Amino acid sequence: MSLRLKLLEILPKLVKLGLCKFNDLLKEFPDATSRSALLVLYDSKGNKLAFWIGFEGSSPKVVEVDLKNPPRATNEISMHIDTFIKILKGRLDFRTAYLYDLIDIESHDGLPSSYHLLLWSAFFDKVADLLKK
Amino acid sequence: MIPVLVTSGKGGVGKSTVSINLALALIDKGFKVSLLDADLMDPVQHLLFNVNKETVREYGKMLTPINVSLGGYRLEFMGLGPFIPRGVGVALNYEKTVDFLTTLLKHVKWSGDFLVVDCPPSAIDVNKKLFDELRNRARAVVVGEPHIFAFEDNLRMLDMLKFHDIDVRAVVLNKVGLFQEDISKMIEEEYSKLGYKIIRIPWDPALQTGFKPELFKELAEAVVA
Repeated sequence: MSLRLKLLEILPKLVKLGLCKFNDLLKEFPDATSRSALLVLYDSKGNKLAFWIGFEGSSPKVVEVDLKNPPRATNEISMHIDTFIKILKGRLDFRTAYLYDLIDIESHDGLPSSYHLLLWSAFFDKVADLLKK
Repeated sequence: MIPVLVTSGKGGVGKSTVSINLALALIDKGFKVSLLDADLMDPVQHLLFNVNKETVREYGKMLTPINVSLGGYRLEFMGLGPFIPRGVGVALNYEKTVDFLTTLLKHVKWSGDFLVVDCPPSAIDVNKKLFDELRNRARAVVVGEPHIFAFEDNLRMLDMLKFHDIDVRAVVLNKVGLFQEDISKMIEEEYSKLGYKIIRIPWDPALQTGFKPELFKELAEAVVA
C-alpha cells in the first residue's frame, strides 16, 4: 500500500487538524512562528513522504515537499508511517515513541535535538487534545 | 549562577534526598535556588513537587523552568521526569542523554543564585561529559553511605571530579546509624585522611518521602563558603 493510501486511514483526523488554527499553542509558544520542520514519513520498503510545517505570518502552513530538494527547516522529524498513524489515533504516546527509538529528530538550527523534541511533545499533546474533542 | 553537583559513585545512596534538602537549606540562607534533576534514566524529583504531564514553555528560544513549591519554599525546577509518561522506560543512548543534558543545562532560563544538579550515579561517561561542561565552574557534594562498596565507588567519583577541576565542598555520609558502626567510623577516617570535609546525616525514615532542611544547614554552609 502506498504511503498516501495509508494516510487515508486517518484522513478525518487530518482534516480535523487542518481546520484547527493552533492559536492556543501559539499563545504558549510565541517563538514557534520562527520555527519550521520537515516531517518525514517512511514505510518498510524505503518509500518516503515529506511535509514542511511552518508559519506564514501567524498562520500555520503544511505543504508536501520533495525530499531531493527540501526547503530549509529548523529541524527534521522522521518516523514510520505506522508510528505516525498510531500517534494520531491515540494508540501511542509521542514521547514514548521517541524514548523507544521509533522517532528520530535532527536539529538544523544549532539547538539540541532534545530541545526540539520537547517542543514537538507539546505540539503532539495539543494535537491529541484537539483530536479528542 | 553557581552550579552545585550532587554526585555519588554508587546509585541509591540518597542523592535526590540530599539535593532537595540542600536546595531548601540554601533557600533558608536567603538564596534563590534552581534545581535540575539530571538523573535522566531514573528521575524522581518531580514526584516531590507533584508535577506530571507538564508542557514545556519557551520564551526567547529558551525553555522556562517550572516554578514549584514545597512546604512554603519556592524554587525553579526542571528535569525530564515531568515530560515523560509515568512508567515508561527511559532508553536513552549516550548521545541522546548528553543532548538532553545540554538542553536542560544550557537552554533553560535558570535564574537561581545556585543551580543544584541531582546527577546520575557512578563515574560514567555521562557524568564525565557533565563535569567537562562545568569544569572550573561547579562546586560538588559527594554523597555516600558509610559502607565499603559506596566508599570504593566514591573514590572513583572523587578522582573524576578532581580530574575535571570541580571543587568538592563536602562528602555527605548519609544514613549514618543504619550500618555497622565500626565500619562507618573507619570510612569516615578514610575520607578525612583524603582531606574532605565530612557531613554526617543520620538515618531518618522521614527523609524518604519528606524533607528536613535543618539537617543540611552545615552542608549549605560548606557549599556557600
